Amino acid sequence: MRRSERGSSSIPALAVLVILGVVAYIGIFGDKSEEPPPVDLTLLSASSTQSTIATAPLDTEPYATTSGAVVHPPVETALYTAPDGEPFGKIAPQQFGPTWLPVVDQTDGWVRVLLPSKPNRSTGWLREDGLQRAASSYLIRVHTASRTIELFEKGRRLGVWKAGVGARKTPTPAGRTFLLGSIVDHKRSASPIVLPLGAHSPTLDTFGGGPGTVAIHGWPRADVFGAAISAGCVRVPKTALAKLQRVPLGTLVLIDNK
Amino acid sequence: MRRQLVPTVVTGAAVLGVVAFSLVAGAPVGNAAARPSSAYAVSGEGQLPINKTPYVESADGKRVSSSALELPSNPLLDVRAGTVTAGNNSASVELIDLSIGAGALGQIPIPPDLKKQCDTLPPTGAGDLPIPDLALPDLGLPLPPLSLKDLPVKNLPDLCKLLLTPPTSLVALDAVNVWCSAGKGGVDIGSLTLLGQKLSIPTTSQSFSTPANPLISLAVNQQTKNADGSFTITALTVNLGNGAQILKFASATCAKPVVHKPTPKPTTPKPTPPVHQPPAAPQPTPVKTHLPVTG
Repeated sequence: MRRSERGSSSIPALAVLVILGVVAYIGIFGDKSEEPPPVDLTLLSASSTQSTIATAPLDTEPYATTSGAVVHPPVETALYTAPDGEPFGKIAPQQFGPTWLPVVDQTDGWVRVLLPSKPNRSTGWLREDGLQRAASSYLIRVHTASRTIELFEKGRRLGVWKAGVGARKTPTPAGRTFLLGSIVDHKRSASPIVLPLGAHSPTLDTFGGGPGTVAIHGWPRADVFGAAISAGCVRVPKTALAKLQRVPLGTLVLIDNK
Repeated sequence: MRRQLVPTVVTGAAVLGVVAFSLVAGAPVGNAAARPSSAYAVSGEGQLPINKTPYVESADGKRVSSSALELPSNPLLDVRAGTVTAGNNSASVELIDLSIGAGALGQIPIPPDLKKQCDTLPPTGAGDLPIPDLALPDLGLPLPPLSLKDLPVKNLPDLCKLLLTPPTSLVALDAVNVWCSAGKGGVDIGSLTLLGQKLSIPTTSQSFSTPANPLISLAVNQQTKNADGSFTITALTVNLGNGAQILKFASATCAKPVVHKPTPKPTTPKPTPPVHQPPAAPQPTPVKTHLPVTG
């Protein structure tokens, strides 16, 4: 009787050891043996100029230039918070025209891109496999204090023009963004050519029924060029717009307070 | 004897296992830094203490943001808006329309003798005239007693100009963005004026200071590598009355990330080797559609 009591007292202790062993095995080998789970795109929000994805990681170098690399997702593609991180959204192959996004960072098999959704400076990581890559040799700089816009190709300045920028209460948002589209909007009879950017007004949640998308476009009167006058958009002269219209989508647009 | 030992040894091993496991499980995960990434728009020390506002910090690496700027009622400073964000080894602040000491200089009653002197400045040699050592009237600001000599002006004509046509504020700044990421950062500052004079700020990466002065001095883009490995960048520090009041604006601290699972270190985009040189991006084809943009 006494012997059997002593024998049974070791059973809980053995059970603890077995549990510890299992926990340790899962801790050490569990993650490595698991395949990344497939991503259900239907559950993810699409990043577009109309949408807000608050969980998107923000651009950490909002005034830096890039190599000019741009990518196009030929199919709907998941966006991740980090390489091998969590999926938080998706990007469609079309926005207004084809989706081209600037690459701001990259690592093995992954690229980080600027996104068209709110908030400003949203970014996401994409698996590089399956993306179409290209290079833009252009760069657009907007300076809100001097109210000018500059266009560069391969580092050479093609032109500088006075531009109308956001008024004090509706500023053009600083930071880097990109050419999201090239549209002709005949509802804007006086200046139908519009180049929407990836940024939005920081002070207007909506504008004219739209999401407050900031764009580069023309203006029928020259007195606005060089003034802080708009609701956030960048108004440029006709000669500038003609050149900017030829710049590839995805090209970086650097807006600063200079 | 041996049979008695078996359960004792097993129980002992289990106890040791539990203790060891608890120690391992209780240890800090990853390489969390002593302080998290954080950001604030305004803080003050001295006669007008201001707690960091709005203040955010990210202990777990998730992005947090706030625009809830709340300043105590005060005669010294006004800020229209500030947004702060902190995340995984990154932080940023945007600040709009800052003014310090608005209207303060316009309230200074000019001593009659000085006014007479100012009205009758000789056309040449006025720059050599001494600045009178008169007490600076109370500016209504939290400052120790100062003399007219403490104003940051070079000579009597400059003093006369400052008092007769006072600027609207001691310091004004229309917009500033500060950001940091992994031990680097920058300040993009708009129009910054000190006593109505616009300061020329060299670049987004260099520090800049005005000369030491008993009334006011400024430091732009102060960068500090902290002992715990974090990095702090402060867009603007204002020193009033030789340290009687210190104001800090737009400060971001980046701490090493809290790592839950190892992720490859991001690298700066490099040009692809020639064999994989991507093609030139295509010229866009305009699409006929309607989008109400901000005009």
